Amino acid sequence: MTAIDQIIRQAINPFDPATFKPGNFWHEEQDPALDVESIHQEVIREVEAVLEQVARDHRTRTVMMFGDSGAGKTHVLGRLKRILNPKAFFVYIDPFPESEAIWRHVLRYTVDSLVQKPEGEAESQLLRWLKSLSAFKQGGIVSWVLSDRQRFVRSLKASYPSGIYNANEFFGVLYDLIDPDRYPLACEWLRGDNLDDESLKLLNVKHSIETEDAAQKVLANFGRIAAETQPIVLCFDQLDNIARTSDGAIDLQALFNVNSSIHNQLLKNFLVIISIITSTWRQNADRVQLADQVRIDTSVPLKPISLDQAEAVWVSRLRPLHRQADPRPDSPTFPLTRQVLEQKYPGGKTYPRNALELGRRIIQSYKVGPSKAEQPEDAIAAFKLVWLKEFNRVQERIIRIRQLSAPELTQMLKETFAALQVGEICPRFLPSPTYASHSFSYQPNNQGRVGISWNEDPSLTTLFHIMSACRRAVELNLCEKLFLIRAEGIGKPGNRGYELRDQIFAENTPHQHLKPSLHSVHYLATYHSLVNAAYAGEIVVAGKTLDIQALEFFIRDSHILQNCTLLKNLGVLSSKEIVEVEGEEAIASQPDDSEPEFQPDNEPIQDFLLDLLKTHQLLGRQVMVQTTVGQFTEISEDQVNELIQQLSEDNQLQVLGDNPNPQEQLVYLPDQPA
Amino acid sequence: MEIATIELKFLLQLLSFSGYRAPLSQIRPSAKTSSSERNKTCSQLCDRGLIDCSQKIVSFKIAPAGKALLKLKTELPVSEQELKALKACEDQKVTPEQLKIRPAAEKQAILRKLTDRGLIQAETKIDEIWLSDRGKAYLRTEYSPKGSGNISLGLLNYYLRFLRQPESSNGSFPQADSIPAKFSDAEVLQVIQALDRELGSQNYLPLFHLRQKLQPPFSRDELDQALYRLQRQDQIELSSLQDATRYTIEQVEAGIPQDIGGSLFFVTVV
Repeated sequence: MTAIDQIIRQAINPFDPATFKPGNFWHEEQDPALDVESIHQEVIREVEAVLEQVARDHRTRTVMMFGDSGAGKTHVLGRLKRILNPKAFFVYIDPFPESEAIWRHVLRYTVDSLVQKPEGEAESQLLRWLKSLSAFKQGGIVSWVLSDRQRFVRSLKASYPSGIYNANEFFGVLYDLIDPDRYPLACEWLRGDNLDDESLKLLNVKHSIETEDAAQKVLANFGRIAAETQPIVLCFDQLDNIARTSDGAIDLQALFNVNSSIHNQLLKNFLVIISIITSTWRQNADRVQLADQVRIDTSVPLKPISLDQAEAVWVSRLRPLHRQADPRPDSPTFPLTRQVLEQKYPGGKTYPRNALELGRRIIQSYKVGPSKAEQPEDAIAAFKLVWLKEFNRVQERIIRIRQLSAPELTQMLKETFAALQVGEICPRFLPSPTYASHSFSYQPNNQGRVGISWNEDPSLTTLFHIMSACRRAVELNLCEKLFLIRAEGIGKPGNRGYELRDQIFAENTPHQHLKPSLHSVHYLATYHSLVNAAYAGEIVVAGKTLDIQALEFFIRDSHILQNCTLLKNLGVLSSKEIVEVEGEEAIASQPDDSEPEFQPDNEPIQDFLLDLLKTHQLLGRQVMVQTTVGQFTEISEDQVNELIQQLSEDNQLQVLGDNPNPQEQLVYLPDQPA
Repeated sequence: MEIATIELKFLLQLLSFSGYRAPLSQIRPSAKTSSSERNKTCSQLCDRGLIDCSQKIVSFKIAPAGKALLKLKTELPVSEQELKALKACEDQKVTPEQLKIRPAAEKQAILRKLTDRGLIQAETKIDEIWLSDRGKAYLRTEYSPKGSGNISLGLLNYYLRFLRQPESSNGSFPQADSIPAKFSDAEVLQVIQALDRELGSQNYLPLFHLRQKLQPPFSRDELDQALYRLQRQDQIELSSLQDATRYTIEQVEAGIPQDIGGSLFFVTVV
């Protein structure tokens, strides 16, 4: 067995900062072993009690959960989901980018959450929900699966004779959910995707859910039917990056309008949880009408934790390392001590994230010795690790561009433009009330204005309207150069939208149609997710909580976006940023679903190894190899070992220990020349 | 022994610090005193033995003996750290900050040893000063004021407090409870509540208002400590600020800075 100090030196810091960035609970795994139950126990109990009331009387209720940055709001949402998922359907709603489309946003995220599988379940929340309806239970599942659509719809209409909007189509699409082939398309319709005529026909529906009103009513349908099963919990989180009003303040009123409508229009069976930073709420509450504020049934504060609880947080993180140690350390917090907490927090209180960060720093200095720990940490390396972790999550989560709505894609692109300081950005470019939010423009230095429009709706009618708006923009001379971004099809010659597109974006014009790849969208979505976290004060890099300015600085300085082909094709990367990447081109090429074939490219892996080492300074070789294999699944342990060997020969890192057994080898950064 | 008014002011100000010990930079006998005047006063008091001081090396260069030593081919009679320091200043004058020796805390000791052995020449600066035993005895039993001088009542207060200390305590580390209370914690709490009512801040009072009201008599640190005590007793909660755009830089800086997470900016009475 091994002594604890050796174990700590070889292991990844158990307080690794990448674990501080929470987010959508459907895409972040929480390890229950790391929970300290006593923390925010009363919050959990209160929300549980409200949920039970909703389950009992089906009346919708709203809970506002507020706390400082780092108090654990997003973590508590995740815990609530984990604990209460057997009793309710959980929906996580990302910050909404456009107030005018907020209902469609809520519907989209509701359906996206409902198609997720809860831990330990074989089926999605949506199918569980469907199958628990009594209309299906009558006569057993087999009978309804085999029976035809008509019968199915009739049976449901008989169960819900009133109060269902567009009942024929809605129930019809529910029927399609049962068919594995049609399931994806049915989900797309339910979440409000603007489908093409062919798909609509296949689903036997006339229209997509195109308006705010329709989205609201479909959501009401869900609530109406949920009365029979379990409540739906809508969690609004990270509200510091929602749409803004004309004077730049966050548009909380839009959210509260939705909340009040849910109450007023008797949308039943919803529990709305609004999670917000205390100071954000205090500073913006006066912008929310009183009549809407009173719709908050319960307010639950997330209080600071005691130092005992902070110690318990430490114990939970250190436990796995202590278990391997022989002899067992005397104190379960070793090498951390109570005194440090007392000294750092004379008021006897702190927040979970601060306790974690303090733990990280102490472990770090324990690993490398106090003198080395005094040197400033390599923040760019640490940032790149946080990025990579998020990027991997986004890759898993977003498997098609169309998963994101046009306003979201536009917002994401705008955020990267702001970070890259491309010039003054104006939202809403196209001269069309409907599609303005799918576009924006910017003014590069010493050049004419550039307009950008992004829409991925399959509907060719939508495409035609957007093309008309583009044509107006060109005719009115609103920009010198116009980009259309669209990976979806554009129809055939003869389609009106197709013809217009051909004219506007002809080769002899300055305008261009770009087909983004999913890979590019992953870059934008990863950055967007970090922006949300930065506004919520939830992203920690090298011991510092990043605000949006700091995040923008890091994204520029790390040159991470240089591999985003879309940004390259849009011409917003400075020349030194640009690295040739294959696989994505302007319209000339075929539809670009194909990502570049994976070539085991060693460079990102070497970068990762060095970033990992710069962040941790000293690591056991084995841990380093395993972490890398965990990050890049395509590579084998032997290959990583080979890379370590190469880096060592190039003197970029040093391997310590004569023992040929890699388990006993340490890897560290060579001292920089003074 | 007679002392000048500026020297008296210097000593009395030193009495306001815990243990009668302070960094020299924090002593300012009067608002008009320049730092060179202060340093001069300091060395005069040192010469008379009324105060003691610690010095730190601010820069150093190699002495000929040191150069010779580096030329020796045989095994060198200095430690590795000392050798590193010698080599660092072989060609030019350097500061301790430029010297890469770990732990940093040992730098001064290593340099002092080298100075003592004549291997380097060092420039020093007074770091910290404190009242010597001789100084304590002088103020307690010998000093008798004569003539006219312009001494503030605040300074007189420090003197009285010093004199009222039992001699056995030797003057060091005045006990917190022996300091005449400026405001008790309960009174601080009342001030918070009154200010909150006055400003309509709905029990979410930015700390800069409180500082404006209570500093002075409180020093910044004293007020921070009082707030921490109230927090520990669950009488108040301290909360951080997310979007600082609505406040001035000075107002934001009036929060209690934390090295992890945002500074504590609002106070709420529980």
